[in-house]
Amino acid sequence: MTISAPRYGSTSSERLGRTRRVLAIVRRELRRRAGWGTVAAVALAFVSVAAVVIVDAEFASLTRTLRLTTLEAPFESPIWPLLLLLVATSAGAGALAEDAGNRSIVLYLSRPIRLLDYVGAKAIACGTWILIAAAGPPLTAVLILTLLGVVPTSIAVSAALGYLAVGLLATIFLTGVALSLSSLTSRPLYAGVGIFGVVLSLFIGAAAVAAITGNLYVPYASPVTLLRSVGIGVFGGPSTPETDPATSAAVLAIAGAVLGAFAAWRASRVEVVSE
Amino acid sequence: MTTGVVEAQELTKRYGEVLGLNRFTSSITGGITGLVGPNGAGKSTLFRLLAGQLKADAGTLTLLGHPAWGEGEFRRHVGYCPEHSALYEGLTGEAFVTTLLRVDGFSRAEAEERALRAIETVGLTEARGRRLRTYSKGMRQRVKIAQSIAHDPELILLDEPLNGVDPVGRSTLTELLETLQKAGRHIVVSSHVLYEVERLTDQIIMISNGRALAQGDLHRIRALIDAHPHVIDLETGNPRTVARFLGEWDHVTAIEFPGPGRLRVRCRAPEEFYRALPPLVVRERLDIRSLTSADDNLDAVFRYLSEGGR
Amino acid sequence: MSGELSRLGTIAALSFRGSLAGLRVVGLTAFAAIPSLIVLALVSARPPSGTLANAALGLFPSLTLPIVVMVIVLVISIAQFRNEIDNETLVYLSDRSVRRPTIVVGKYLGALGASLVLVVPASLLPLAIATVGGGTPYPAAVPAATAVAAALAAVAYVGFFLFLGLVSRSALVIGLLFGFLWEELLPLLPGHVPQLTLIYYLRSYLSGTLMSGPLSGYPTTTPATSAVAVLLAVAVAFVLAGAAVFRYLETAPERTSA
Repeated sequence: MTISAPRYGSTSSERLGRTRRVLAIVRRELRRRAGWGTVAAVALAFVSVAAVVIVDAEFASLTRTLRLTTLEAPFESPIWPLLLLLVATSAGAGALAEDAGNRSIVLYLSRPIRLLDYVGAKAIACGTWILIAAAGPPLTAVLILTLLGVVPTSIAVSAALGYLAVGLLATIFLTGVALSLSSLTSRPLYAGVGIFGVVLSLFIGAAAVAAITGNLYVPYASPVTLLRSVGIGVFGGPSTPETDPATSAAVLAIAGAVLGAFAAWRASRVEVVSE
Repeated sequence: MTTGVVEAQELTKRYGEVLGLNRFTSSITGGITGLVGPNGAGKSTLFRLLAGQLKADAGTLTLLGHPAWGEGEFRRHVGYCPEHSALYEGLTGEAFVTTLLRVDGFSRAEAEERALRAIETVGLTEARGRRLRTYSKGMRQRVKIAQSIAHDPELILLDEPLNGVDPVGRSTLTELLETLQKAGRHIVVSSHVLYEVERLTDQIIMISNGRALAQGDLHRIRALIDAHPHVIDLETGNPRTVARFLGEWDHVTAIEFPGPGRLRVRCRAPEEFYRALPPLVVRERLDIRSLTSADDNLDAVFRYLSEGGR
Repeated sequence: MSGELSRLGTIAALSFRGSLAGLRVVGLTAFAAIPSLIVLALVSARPPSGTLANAALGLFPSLTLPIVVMVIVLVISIAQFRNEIDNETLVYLSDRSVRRPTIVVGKYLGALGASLVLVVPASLLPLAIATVGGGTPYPAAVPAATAVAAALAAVAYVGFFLFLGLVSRSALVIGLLFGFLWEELLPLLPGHVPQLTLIYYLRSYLSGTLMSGPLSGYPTTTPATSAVAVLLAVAVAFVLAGAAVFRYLETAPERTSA
């Protein structure tokens, strides 16, 4: 092995713009997060959620006129939020934790990129997977139902927009949760378990407290309830939402943004100490 | 029949499509043996196989006559200092060594006594009560070495033990290894920094691309490479006269005059050269002021072997 | 030289200390406190004493057992082998003259001890807070049954998750799938399917032990003693399986170069 002394000199190569640099991280992160856990959870979401929507719509079409409310099924099912949590865990738990654990965050931040670019790229990659799992299955189902002639095109378009809107909201919130918890630790295991633990505890805890106290504001503490309310609100029933859909949407979006900002702040505070 | 403290026969280990070790064959008989090679050569793979962390895909590997893979009481006679610096961060240095001695089966009192002794040996007495997460890299290396020698093993495996240790620490650890050797311990020590091993021992195994390129005494290995001319630089008051005598020797392949009063000799049998030169100097009253072997160091030998091995 | 039991104790103590060290214990303790905080919120609303007592007790099967206990045990158990394999500290134990099954059993005991320290108070404190906060006092059998159920859950889940952390690099995802899909959704299915879950046996134990209240009345055909036997057997089976697997397991982290 021969080691030559490096030759130094000024270079005048053109540097790519900020967007291209962010996209480079996004592309890498998208591949990195495509572990079998993420792919399995997304596949499971496609199979189970799409099946729920299709079966529900098929039955409804046999007995009554099919309306937009018929396609609200995913938000009534406990499977949809559980699978989204699983995708958020698999795709987001390691987003910042892994980099802090193996110290590659130093390599990223030593480059000419801003911290916001780094965290933003991580959020886009994680959010993409969550959005695929959140909106992909019901969109696929409604496309199949439209092609089969079960659902009229006008309802299909409305439903598709509704799924996209609720899916985006779920994506914003869960990405914020995943990144914020991931920024708190250098071990994805803890962040992943935290995502499940926090969201489900809020769901059950808020339900228990609301049932006893009758306080109308307590359900706003449960993200699952909020998502469900938004879904019901967008699709117009049939059940009554526990929280106001518009307020719920605002709470989810603001919470997601605040948690994302918290993740960025935490990333800025990371001290990578060598052994 | 196995005779060495470590015996490897046709040892192969794959990581997917990457070959960690490729039909590695070697026998380590005792004393201090240096395992040298560049990063990725397979040194750590060999150590992991020796520590029972990995199972060979093919071939055999024995330590003290026992198969390296799996558990066994024979491991009481083996100490291992891994390359990585991960430790049980929440423990103090003393608790770390004591705990591992307890796992080795020593009573609490004896474990504590041995731990203190080992910690003192590596120069960590003052820091023994601090948690490992506060240790510097050099201190981590020392505490790892302490746990590997605390149970007084017969065979000590040290994977890059001098990595990150300051110059004073290196000197102390080098002396420690020499003391252990004199006490009859067998030591296998790896490094990719060649001069480190050269200072510790003449007994080396050169490894590259997962294969043992050469094994034995450094100078013997060097002498074996007779196809590769050995370069010797001489300083003399009368280069032409000296060159005339040396030019008559069969094993001298070339003589150069790199500068005033200097002579560079290339020969194929360095041992014969070194044996024959003193009588010649005495007999012919030659004025030779210095004699240096330009490439009689591990680096040069390794470079030659690894290039030739490809 | 002392015996294998002493080595077992040392490894168990090492695992116990490691499980409850650093920031991890802060996070886990905060998580264990969630049911208690919810009951505190309920107490502040001053509901009728019977309602408060039932609500606090109702949190056990709906929140404490399936989520809080699950999460705590999952984190502690998977970390035992997975973290040590990934950062290569396991070699300090595996290259010693200790038998590998002893390491597995020692780690199981250490993880179980650490889990119990967190899950038993997590199951009892909400009941204590409800009682102190004006709820109807519980018969002694109720807190006893919840504490035993939490302990049994730890006994069984630690065994399973420890095994998972040993054999799979994707232990977290599989553990979450098991904990929150398998254990939550299968009990909703008809027939004998719920018997494939551990939560079924935990609820069977509670239902068989307590004759009234929110913890009783679970539709089960399994008596409490059989449920306990199944949970213990599951733990033993996974520890034995772990011990068997560990003897033949490579413990170096996955890498692609030498």
